[in-house]
Amino acid sequence: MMEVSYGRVEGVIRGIVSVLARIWSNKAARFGLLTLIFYILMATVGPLILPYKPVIASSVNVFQPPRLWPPIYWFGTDNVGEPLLVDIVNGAPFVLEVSLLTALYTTVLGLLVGIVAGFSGGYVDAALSFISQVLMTIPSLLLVMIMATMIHTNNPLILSGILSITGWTGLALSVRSQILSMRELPYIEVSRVLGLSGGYILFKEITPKIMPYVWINFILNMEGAVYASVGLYFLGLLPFQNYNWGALISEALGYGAYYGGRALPILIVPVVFVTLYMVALIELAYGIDEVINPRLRK
Amino acid sequence: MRTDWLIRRIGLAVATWLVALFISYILFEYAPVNPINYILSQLGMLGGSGGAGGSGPALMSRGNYEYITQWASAFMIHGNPALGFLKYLVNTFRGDWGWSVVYGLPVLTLIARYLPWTLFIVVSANIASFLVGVYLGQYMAYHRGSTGDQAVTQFITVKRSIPVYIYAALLVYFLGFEYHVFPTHGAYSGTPGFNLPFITSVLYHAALPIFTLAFSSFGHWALSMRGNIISILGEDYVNYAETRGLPSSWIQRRYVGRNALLPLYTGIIIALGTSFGGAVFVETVFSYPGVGALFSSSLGNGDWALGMGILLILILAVILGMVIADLTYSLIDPRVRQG
Repeated sequence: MMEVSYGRVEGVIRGIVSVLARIWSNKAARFGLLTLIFYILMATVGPLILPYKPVIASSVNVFQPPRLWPPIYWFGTDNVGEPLLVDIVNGAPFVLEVSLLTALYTTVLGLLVGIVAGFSGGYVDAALSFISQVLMTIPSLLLVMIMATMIHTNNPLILSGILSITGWTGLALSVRSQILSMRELPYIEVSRVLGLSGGYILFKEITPKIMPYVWINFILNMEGAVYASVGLYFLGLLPFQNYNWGALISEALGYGAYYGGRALPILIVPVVFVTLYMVALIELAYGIDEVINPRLRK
Repeated sequence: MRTDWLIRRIGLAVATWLVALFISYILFEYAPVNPINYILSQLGMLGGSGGAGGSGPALMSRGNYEYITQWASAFMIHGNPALGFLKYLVNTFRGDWGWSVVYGLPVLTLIARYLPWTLFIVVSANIASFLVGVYLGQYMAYHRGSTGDQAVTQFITVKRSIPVYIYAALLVYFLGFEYHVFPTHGAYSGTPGFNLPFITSVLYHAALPIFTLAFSSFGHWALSMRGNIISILGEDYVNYAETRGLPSSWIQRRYVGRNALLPLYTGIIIALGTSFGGAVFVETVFSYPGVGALFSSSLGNGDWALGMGILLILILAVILGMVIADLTYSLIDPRVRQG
């Protein structure tokens, strides 16, 4: 018994390593992965090194241009005199938490709905498909904006829940159709004839086939969550945080109208950080797609 | 067969509309922040921070607060939820979409005033991005594997992942505030009228919003067109046309181009729906007087009737667009005409 479970663990580890090696061999995926690791480090270690402590506002230290030394002033200072680097580092955990949580919620929900709809059929299937179709028709971003503004919270756990209200439909519909088409495949029928349980067929036969798609969907949903959450702060619809990236961009626009070029770093730096994160996610998704999808393999 | 399918599509459209109304009713009725609290907080009558869910009366005596709540409750329909929803439905169909608490005007009047500007920029942006995307996709498909194709694909991949408000912010900052090339707010200057200066000023003001929306969305068309063309190029009828010695430009246009465009047709409506989301950011950044900017300002003010009204009108636009796309699809694709 011990040996069997040991062998299984070893097999899982070997599988993970081989997948990682294949991802690593792809240039786009490697770029995405490295950038993502950088962001995770920034969000976890960063705030410990550079905690946010609002300084006493002084007109001397505001809108300082970037300078080389000390490193904390690499990006200059913001409108209250706080170094912009500190703002960026302290804004990172929120963006990462919201994107990860939203992707998690939407993936779990989408998988659940898709599997239930695909296996049960009948009225349950019809109802779930109808809900998915309706939610796909509604301009989801606007609905999410109304709800997020009404609930008005900074809490990533709750905000991600709001952001994932509509994101699960695509995954649910495709998992459902995958299962419907796979149910008729000979090897699934054979498993059923052999008397294997539904759970075994689901996890051993069907899940491995849809996992690549689930991962890509996970990453794309992360990206969508960044788009929506930073956008909500950009529009000023969530409780104000001076160090939030979206809030910084929108503030920079406000200052740009009055102060001109002095507000430039406050615009450019958060823009670069948001952009880099989203580009990294997309490159990772495409890279994984290229690795897994034989039609795209070079 | 065909009528069955049509009835199902229209049924789905009506059902979607009802669901949208139901969601809006639920949100409106059970919103944690209601417009009355907003007005009170604006008057400094509620404690707490910034109007959002004030914790209790700060400047008022208990009696006054109760008086105000009583007075305010006249505006709220609490009671039997089913009955309330029915009432809400009837009112919506009668054209009574409530009043905006900030503007003091009926919601539909405001929407009628702002919607044309949004439709103008969203529709022009979508036409522009569709044309650019289709031609770019054609170029990429016929030069697939070349450096140009790879460069454009990579460019689109990066471009697509950047949110539309970042483009808007950069454009308004540099071309608006820094170099004063384009206006930073409004839809026109001077007095409205059907004359050349007014029309040019409208186009001048709309240029950046349209460009931003179009730029952020053309990649999708290009990639889909590229994929469609590549898959069609292997078809027998294309090979046969080549064997017959038809000129390749003729084949590209009549044989490949048309068939590659077909699947994109229904996507236009979905793209329109997504553009409405983008329009909220773009109009807000450029202070463009469309429903998008109105939407974000209404949310910021807790003006739920107005925000909900805009959401409903945009959902209606998408639903109507889908039905029209379904009805007209047979006009462009003869294959579905009989069946």
